[in-house]
Amino acid sequence: MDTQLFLSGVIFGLSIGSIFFLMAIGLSLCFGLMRVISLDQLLYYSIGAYITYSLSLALGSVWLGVLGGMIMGGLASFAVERFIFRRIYERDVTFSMITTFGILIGGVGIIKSIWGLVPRPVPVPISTQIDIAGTAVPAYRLIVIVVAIAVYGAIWLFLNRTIVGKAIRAGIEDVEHVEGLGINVYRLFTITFIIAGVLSGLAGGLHAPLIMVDPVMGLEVLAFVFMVVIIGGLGSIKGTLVSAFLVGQVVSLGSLVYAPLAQMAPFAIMLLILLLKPTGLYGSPLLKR
Amino acid sequence: MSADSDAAIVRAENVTKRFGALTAVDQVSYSLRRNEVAGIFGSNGAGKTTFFNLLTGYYVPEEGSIWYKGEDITRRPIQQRVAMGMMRTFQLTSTFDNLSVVDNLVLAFYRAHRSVSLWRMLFSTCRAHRNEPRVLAALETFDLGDQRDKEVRHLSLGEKRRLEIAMSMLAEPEVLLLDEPLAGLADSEIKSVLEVLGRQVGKQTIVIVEHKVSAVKEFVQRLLVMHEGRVIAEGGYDECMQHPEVRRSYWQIDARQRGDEQ
Repeated sequence: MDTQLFLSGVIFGLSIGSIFFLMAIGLSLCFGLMRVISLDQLLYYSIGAYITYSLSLALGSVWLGVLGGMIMGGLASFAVERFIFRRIYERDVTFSMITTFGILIGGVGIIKSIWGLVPRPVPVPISTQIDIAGTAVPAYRLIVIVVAIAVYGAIWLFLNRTIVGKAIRAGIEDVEHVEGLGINVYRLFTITFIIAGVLSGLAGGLHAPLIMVDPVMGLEVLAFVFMVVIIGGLGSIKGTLVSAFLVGQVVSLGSLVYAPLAQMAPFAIMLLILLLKPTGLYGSPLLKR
Repeated sequence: MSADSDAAIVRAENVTKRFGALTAVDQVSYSLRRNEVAGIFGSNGAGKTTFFNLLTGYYVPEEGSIWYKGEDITRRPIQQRVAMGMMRTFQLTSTFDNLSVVDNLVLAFYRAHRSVSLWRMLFSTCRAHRNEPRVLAALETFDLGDQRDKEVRHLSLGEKRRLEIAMSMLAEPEVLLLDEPLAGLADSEIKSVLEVLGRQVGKQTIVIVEHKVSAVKEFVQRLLVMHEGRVIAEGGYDECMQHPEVRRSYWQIDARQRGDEQ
């Protein structure tokens, strides 16, 4: 494998890992705080991509489309939290998984009825290529990576500096005790879901120019996103970032070595990591419940 | 009853809580007077903690009602009861292991004295409140100054318990409910915790659930003795200990405690 191919493979892996990260962070926080598996986030990812498609056609700007996708993702997540999750928090975790899988499938149906079955292209907003060590790297992929890292930084600051962030971290340990301090935990849940929805919409919007937007795109990344969450360790944002980039690299470099590896290798890595560390890379044994 | 409800800050009326076939709390009625120090005593499984959970909203009773300052709060969520002025501690401490000692205090302080609004909390940082006089005073009072920036998971049980009590006192609730605050503490620590609590007598209503009643007998003014979900005696310490049913139910514990004290 020559260096040019390798380098572009690494950049590809980082950019796809960035998308995985943006998706997985919401899922991870939702599980950590509410103990629910929010598969509906994958729907907001598709919604983000389709809104980006429609707005970029209407307004001529992909960036405005991505912004619209984030807003719609956040709104959809907010609505689902308010009208559905509120009723099922008390239930078993598998109940949330089945419910949200239903929302995801139903949502895919709605997307099909609005946008049709044909995959839609979204133009790349910046076609510039940047030269890195003799390899032409698409600037847009670098932007995607920078956005993911910026989001990581922002989430880190939010969780470690603000009082709400501390309350969320405290809630990941024990929600009842946070309630015992007099904090309205249902509001915390709403905030967390909105953050997750906005980031899922952002992931979809950013990913749109790199793929063809189609109704089942959410289902296509589902396995990878899950893997990222599990490898990283539930509830850990640092773990999610590391594992997203790891899975991205495995998918990208694996396919360079031998194409079918791209599908298989991440599972092998996950198996290996879970054998060595059942709580994931940065998973905390505190998450006992 | 109305005269009684004026004096009572918290009142339980015939509350019953069942878990399957087990009746953990059976038709218990109880009134707490403003600013008194009350104890709830009983052996393991007597229903003390379940009764506590009913008062504080962690369980909803199957029968009966719970009143706070004349308002029916039977079905109010935990967080609203805290907002109204009731706060509790837990047998297993409810401090947050992943946060530093001072940030645990800041969380309790901010919610109680700054803002209930999460919107405001979103734009407030912990750092800005770490040097609040009341937070600093709590660190001082509970002798946690040296541990200020340590993550709570590195603390000893005694330190965690002091922190938990510090958090609940920092919130300055009108009613402070302590669930076995002395369990697992060394004698010197028991002394310092009781000393701090002692300063609050007359300022707050304090309820202590204890196993080891001898440790708090100087401290509590009125005792409620439970056995198998029912109240078997209520009154002053000596009065309760003389009560024939208490003697019958607790002669073993009593004997064991005498053993402890020797």
